[in-house]
Amino acid sequence: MGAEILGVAGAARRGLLTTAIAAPGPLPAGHASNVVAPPFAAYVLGRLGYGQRPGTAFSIAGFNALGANDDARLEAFVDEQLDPARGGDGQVVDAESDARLAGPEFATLRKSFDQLWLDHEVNGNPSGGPNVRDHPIREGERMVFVRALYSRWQLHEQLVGFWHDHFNVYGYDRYAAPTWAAWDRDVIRRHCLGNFRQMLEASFKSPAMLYYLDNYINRAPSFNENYAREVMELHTLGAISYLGAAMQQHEVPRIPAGDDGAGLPIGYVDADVYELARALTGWSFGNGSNGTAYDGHPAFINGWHDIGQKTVLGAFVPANTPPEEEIATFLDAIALHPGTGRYIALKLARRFISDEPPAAVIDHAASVFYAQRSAPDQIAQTVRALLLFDGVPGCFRDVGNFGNKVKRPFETVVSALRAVDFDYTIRREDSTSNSFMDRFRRSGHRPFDWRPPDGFPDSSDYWMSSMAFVHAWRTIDWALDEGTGSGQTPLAPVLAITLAEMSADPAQHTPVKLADFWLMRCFGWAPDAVNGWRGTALHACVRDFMCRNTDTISLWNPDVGIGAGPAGNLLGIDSNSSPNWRYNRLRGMVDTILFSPQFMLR
Amino acid sequence: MGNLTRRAFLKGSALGLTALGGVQLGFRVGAARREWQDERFLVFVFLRGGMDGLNLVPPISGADREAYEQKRPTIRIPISGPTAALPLSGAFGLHFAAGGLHELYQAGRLAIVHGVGFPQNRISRSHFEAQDYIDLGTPGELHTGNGWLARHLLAAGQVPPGAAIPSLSAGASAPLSLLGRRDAMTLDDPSSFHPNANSGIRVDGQPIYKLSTMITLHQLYAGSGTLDLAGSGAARTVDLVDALDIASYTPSPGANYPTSGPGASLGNQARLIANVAKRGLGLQVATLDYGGWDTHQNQGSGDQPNLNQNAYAARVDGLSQALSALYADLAGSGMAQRMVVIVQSEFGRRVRENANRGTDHGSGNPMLVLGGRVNGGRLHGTFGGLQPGQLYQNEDVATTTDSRRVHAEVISAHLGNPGIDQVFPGYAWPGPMGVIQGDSIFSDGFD
Repeated sequence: MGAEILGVAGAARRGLLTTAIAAPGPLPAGHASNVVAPPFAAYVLGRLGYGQRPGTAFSIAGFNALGANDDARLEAFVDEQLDPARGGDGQVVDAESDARLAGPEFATLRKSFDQLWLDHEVNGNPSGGPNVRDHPIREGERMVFVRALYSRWQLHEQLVGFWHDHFNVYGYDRYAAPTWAAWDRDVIRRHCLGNFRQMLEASFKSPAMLYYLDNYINRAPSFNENYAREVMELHTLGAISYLGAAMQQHEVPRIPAGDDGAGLPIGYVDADVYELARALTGWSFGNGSNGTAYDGHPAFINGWHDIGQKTVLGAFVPANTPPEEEIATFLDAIALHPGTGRYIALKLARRFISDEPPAAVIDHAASVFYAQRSAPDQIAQTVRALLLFDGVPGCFRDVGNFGNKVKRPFETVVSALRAVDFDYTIRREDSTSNSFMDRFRRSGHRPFDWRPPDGFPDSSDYWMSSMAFVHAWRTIDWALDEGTGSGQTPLAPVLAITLAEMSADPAQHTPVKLADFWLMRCFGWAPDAVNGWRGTALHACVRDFMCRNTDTISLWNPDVGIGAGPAGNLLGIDSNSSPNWRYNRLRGMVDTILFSPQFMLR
Repeated sequence: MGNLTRRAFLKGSALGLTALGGVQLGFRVGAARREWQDERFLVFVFLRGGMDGLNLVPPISGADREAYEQKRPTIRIPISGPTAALPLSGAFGLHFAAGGLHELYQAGRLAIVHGVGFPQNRISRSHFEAQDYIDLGTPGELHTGNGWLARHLLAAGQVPPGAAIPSLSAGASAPLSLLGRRDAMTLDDPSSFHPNANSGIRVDGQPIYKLSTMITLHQLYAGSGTLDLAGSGAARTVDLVDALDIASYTPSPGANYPTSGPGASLGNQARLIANVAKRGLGLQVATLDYGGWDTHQNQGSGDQPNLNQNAYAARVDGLSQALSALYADLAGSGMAQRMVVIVQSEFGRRVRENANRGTDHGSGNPMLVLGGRVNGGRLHGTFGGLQPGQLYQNEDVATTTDSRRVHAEVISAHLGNPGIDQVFPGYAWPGPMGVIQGDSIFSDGFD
């Protein structure tokens, strides 16, 4: 249906493809040469979460215990992850991350919208008092690290991140910052496995969004089109259904009989944007001006509303339609159009499958999204359909997809810290946490710090940049080196893990064995049951780091225990003195694993 | 590769990384400076968000002025008083906060091209489509696998042999215009730009694990896949920043980059570009992004001189200061002739202001071209007019010049690349408009 026209109208940004055009075929050219194909479990855990975490259910062993074969395991895994434990308020419950978030540094997470408004907007910046306006966003940006690091509901966290990008709001915006906990909890988390139409309405009626995209001041007759345009282009039908500036509504072809949405216009034009902008005139929130209460609640300003008749995507409302009814009609029109399912399916496929996902997978997920448009678990069903669809090369269960996505900095850092048992709660007003955030910020991927409305890019091309790589690596290096408290307890117990899980015997601490142990520890698997990672190019690089002499030229014998090495190297791996700084060397070696192409890929 | 010495790695008058990362870097810095003395380069400044060009270059007299005042009752730039437009040639002026740009215009170094945009059947009022159209250099087509600047660099002979930094994106990520160019250096702030802060004994002043990490990174990313090239490129960037001490730089006297306000970040990035350009590293193309132009509301009253209360003016001021400093910096080193700066946005904004003293998405928009070889002090192209019947869809300034037309002229006349059809596939270039000196002059728009 209308593939040619949609093809011309375009593909979403940066991915450079359309659903209609991407055909099953050869996978994209490999991103890296010396990369070993992982087992299915490792691939799934890296795609649907932030990587394996040794010793937890979210590990290779945990995945493999879910069934007799990979297909059964994937189905069981997806079903479990899409049905996380929930508390009485409907929010997802996770013992470890909830415990870490229970302290006063995360107090705003537990406040109602009204309480947030009172504490952080009304009293956010009192004269002479402490400025607490930003506390909710500061807690929110650190909370997502805590949950991604420690929650067992990893797919849920991935989807929370997906929807935050989709309904992007700049976190430090005027009304987003003080109400962030409500935006995150009541709009994104509440609906992220739920019903899209409800999620869309919740996002629209949030002061964060009403302000961010200017609808709070949208009034007749010289309407403000900002939200109306972006809600169509970015939140619902997407640019893949935008037919350009030159076409008028009556010229748009209709979806043929027999297809989903038969009889509707196949896409939208600028006139649809303008009509929707007119329909949205008067929808504001209580900010204490223009007769509204100062309470942050959605407010309809009657005198600002354009009462005339409107048509959006073929849906018509006559003049003087009650505003709630009018808005419901048009939110239905954009949320329930089959183009919205196609766009959401495309974006989900880009997140979880590849930058150029197979059309058959998208079509399947889009059809489920459309068929289940009234279901309370529409999104969970769509994600399930997307992940379990079988039968074409390049579908999710095709492990050949491994390596076609490069991790974004958030994923790079979180998966690295999970692999080395990083044990620290990144939180507000804590100097160690601030050091972490200051480093991570420079990667360009600080949570909720994306000002344009399209959300952080998802394409690997964007993130393969020197800044993203070097600052993600620098953050990891910092985390491996940093200690806390009077004893400078390491945040990542690299030495303790080595001594406890590998060996406390200095004779065993040879570069060959240390490299092999830590490769296995970081990835959770090895290419060979007997030789582990030995014999791979990656192992050689890591090993050589460990036995490179202080002249940075010669190499030690890689088979001699580092504690019994060349003259002068008689101390154990836990010593950290000149000239070899063995502990630093060991942490530097683990760095090189976490900086490697094998680790940077999903 | 394990026995590569730190000396080959760091010194030897060369950044001898050739053997390491498969990246050709075996040039001598001293020699390179001489060899590339005359190398020309382009700085592409993308004003993302849809810059309101009608307020940057407003009409100041005639019937268009009347229409302008009528359609923009609160945000129009006045022709008298403290916020009066700075007069250009003819019936146009420059925004009052663009004093630095105005001086460059008066000095003949800044040209303005009216009505730049896409062909009418390719117009998009979507930020993200329109930005991609420009970056990819293929309006109406988003499937293009590489960007226009990448295609320029890929053309034979464009990148000097052994160039260490043929392209530089001063920001967090390279724009789509460089898509396909895997050695594009991306750098925002050169301070603390290294992946390992580890201690250990120092060798040649460097902690050994910092050195050793870099050696291993080059080994890890020694392959030829796209990630390999990105990873080795990141490592190479670290090496260069370190070996050339990029973090240390003193601009030419009089080059005052803005350090506060919305232009501070742009100023830092422009400063980095000048810094790299002056080092003789083969720079051909540099890109800058300067966002925040999506002024749907309160873009600033035309009468408000206080930049703290005039968001659009403050942004214009940042642009003007940063570009003035960049030009002064290069000119102070006798290198103004080498540089051309193109400044453009994805589209202009609607002529009529909305109820929120802002403007919504439009189409045709002015483009700025700055440099020592620019035919400046002139308005090029055709202003479509603000009278009834002259506007595109009764709302926007009409597009009269395809933006590729100017890009092509800069590539051909300034950078010496004759392969316009390779850089802009499917585009029938009507020839130069005379924006760059030394070319036949026939200023017009679409034929």
